[in-house]
Amino acid sequence: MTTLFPDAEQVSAEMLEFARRAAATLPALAKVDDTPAGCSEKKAVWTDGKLTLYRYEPRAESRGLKPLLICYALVNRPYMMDLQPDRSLIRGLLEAGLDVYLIDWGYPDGSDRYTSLDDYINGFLDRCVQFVRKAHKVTAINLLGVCQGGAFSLCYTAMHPHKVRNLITMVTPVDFKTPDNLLSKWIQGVDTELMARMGNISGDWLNAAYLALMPFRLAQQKYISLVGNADDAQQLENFMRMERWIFDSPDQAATAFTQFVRWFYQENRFVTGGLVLGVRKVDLARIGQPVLNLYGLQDHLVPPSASLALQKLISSEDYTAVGLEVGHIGMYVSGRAQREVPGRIAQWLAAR
Amino acid sequence: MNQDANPATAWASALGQLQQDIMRQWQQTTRPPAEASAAPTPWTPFAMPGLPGMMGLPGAPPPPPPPATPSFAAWDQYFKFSQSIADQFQKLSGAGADATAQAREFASAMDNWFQKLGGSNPLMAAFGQMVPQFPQANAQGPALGMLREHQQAWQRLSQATQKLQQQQAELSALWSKVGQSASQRFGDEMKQRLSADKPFSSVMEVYNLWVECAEECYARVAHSPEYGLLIAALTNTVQELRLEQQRQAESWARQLDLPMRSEVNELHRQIRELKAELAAFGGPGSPRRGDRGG
Repeated sequence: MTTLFPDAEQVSAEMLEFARRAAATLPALAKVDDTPAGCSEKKAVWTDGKLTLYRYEPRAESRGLKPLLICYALVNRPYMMDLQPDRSLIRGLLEAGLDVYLIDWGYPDGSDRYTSLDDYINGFLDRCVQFVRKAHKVTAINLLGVCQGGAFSLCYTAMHPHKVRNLITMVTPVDFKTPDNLLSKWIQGVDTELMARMGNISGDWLNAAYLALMPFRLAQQKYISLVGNADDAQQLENFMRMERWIFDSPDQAATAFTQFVRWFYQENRFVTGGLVLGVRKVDLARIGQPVLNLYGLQDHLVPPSASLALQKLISSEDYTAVGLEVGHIGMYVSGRAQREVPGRIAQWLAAR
Repeated sequence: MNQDANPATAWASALGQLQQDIMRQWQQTTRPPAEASAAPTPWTPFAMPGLPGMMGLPGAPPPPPPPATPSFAAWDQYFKFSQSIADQFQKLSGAGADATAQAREFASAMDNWFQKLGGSNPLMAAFGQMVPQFPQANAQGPALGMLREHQQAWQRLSQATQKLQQQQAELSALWSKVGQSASQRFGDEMKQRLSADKPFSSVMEVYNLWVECAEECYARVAHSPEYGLLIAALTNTVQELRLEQQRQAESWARQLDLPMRSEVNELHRQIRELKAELAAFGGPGSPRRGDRGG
């Protein structure tokens, strides 16, 4: 007769071992120090309100390319791009001879509740671009947008095309209403006017929404699996560093957030048109420069279909889409991304 | 207890003891300093800090301190889960048990456990915490007399609370649906394993299969229009409730001549307009800027 489950002795031994490992893991985790955010040397070269613009110290001979400005999302913190030496997209780019700048948006507070998307994109982002152009005496720079920062970069390039030489989008949503976009389905009926009246949107609220996308895996299984690595101090440290990043979520400026929800998630204006920021119309068809679109094939936050919609909306004849077998976060920190992404970006830029 | 005499009971007992020790140790490790807090608060992602205390103004106790660690409740659940699994294995791994019966009983046990999990689900608990306990008096009657404005405010609060409770119940029902379909799916997987003669090699393998089934079934429900609409409705109701609470708080602040959020907002709005006007005249514009070289 087939026995489906292990016998009592094996179960007993396994459960006891699990409990012992858990007993060892919890104190070990408590002892893991908070590691510093980011690992590569950088210098703050510009501040603008709560925004800081960083320039990274070179780690290889310059390839003589135009400077690369990374526009990160408003949600979560940008140190994910440079988490630790063996998980750093920025380090990879530096070692490929690129000159890298990064925007850190800071932590909005109550005084930022009326900050709008126009302020972020035509204000803060534009001033960063101006700074880099002036510092390098160039008319156009290379722009890399990540996730929501990718959507910002698309808006910016469409409104200021002469200032962007090449555009790279990474795990960037373009079509916000594809059938596999769970977050989008949930947010369609949210009353953004009501939400805006209650002030900034808390980072905790966003975290809860992200966890609810895959609750069993994200709120349970990942901790259970960690117990198996109790003896590996490096693993525990990596885990805690990632844990810190995941829950280090700035509040979102009320006006900008609700505009983003309404115009992008609910009205899908990249696709349907009608997006206006300040006095400028955003028409993706004005993007004629080379575009490299990097997306994760396992991305549950920005499904590939949401990113791949870009090609039909821009006028560029030099469009490259690259799908990697990674998830949303894996695009910056997985071993595969570490091996493939910086080199691809550097080669692509060097050819243009 | 003599372990040789009754090994199954002995290891289960040892496991239970170990788990208690771990929880105690972990609680001690993460306890806030001195007498700063009472019992740890369960993790409540949707809870708005300070809201429970705000509900009973005036003279309400201060809101509970933040949890010592957000993953504490999760760990507690793991241990309960492992104990539940251990109990099942104890029953099912004996010699001579029918494999199909094993699968059926195990699926049923998982279903029970899932129901319990649903009950202590952080999302559920969060919404539960949001529900205030305030007097229902005058909740329905016409607003008359000198206090009619206050009565209306409490009525709005009451209506929002009732709506939240109703939506919370609807969400619980959907979660139960997920639990039932996940148990069914899990049972189907086990039948396939039986027919393929592929027994589980470890408890962890069983757990991972369960998670896989649960996520699959959850995704099906979570993608449904019904679930999406409910989540949006819940979000809106929570905002309505917060708005009413804010009005109450501002009413008290006004009585005590304390600054109000709406006044601060108005100041921010005016500063923003002034900055825009300044920028239009070619001034430095809104933000503070500093060139640090580069």
